[in-house]
Amino acid sequence: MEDKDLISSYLAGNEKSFERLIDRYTKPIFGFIFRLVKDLGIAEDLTQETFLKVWKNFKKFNQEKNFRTWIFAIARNTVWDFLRKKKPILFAELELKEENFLKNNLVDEKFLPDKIIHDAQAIEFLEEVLKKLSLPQQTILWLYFKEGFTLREISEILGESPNTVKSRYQRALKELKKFFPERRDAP
Amino acid sequence: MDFTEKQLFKIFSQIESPEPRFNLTEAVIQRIRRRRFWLFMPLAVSVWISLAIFLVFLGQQLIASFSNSGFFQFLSLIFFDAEAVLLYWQSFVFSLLETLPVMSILIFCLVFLSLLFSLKIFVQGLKKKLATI
Repeated sequence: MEDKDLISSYLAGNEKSFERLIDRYTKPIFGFIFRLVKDLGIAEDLTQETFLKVWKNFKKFNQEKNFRTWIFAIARNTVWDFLRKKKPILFAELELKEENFLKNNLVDEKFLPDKIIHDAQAIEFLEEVLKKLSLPQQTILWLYFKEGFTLREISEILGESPNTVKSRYQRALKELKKFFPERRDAP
Repeated sequence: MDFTEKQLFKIFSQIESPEPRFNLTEAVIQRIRRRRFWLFMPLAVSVWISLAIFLVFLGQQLIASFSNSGFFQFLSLIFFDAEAVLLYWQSFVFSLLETLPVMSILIFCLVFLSLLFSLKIFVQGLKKKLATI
């Protein structure tokens, strides 16, 4: 059953359909939130908070839009609100981090493309690299590569213009590419 | 898409998020149920109290209607002139019915039954909600 059908069914009074939607999105939303807050307990709380907001605002949801985009936008807002309350100064600095990141990080040449894909260490390495990126950059990369959203959908989730998202994405990718050099042609 | 993007798709697909420490889906559902319950509770209680107050008002109106209609005067004939009542029982019954404040009785009964019915639904709902919390 697709999201649209479940939404229609829920709005027609079938509570179980909403529970199925919750079940469908709990894992990706939790994964997304955990990626941003990096704390299991907080991620669990914020995931619950996100679904509570979804439930409260369900009638405002425009059914012609993508539910998945909408729910991720709510999750993102929930995390942003939490971070603003929790660490107002750090949150303001997140954008600055974007500018300064690579000045302090050297490229690790030992990770070559073929190795990267298969080596579990590379995943750890990527996680470490991601942590050094700004929060908006991390969010964009996660949504693009992990969740498979398009840049346009990401711009809807983040509430930013597609051009801003595109330039952030390109900048983030540029930084990542320095860690993951492109494949050289075989000799 | 260049090679690096392909690589990134592969690497990201291999990144596993940690599992929550409990059944998060169930926790979310329970939390929504609790919230719904606490939203429903004050509303139900206030509606029920309003209906009860309205019923008291309607009861007073009903008593006044009976007093003004002359119903009790006719009814008292049973004690003062039982023979005449028995003799003209059809006219007596008709007079009683004629003086009966039918509308007031109907409205009172309607609100009273609604109150009982809503109380039944409320208690059933409460039991159900408490069972799921």
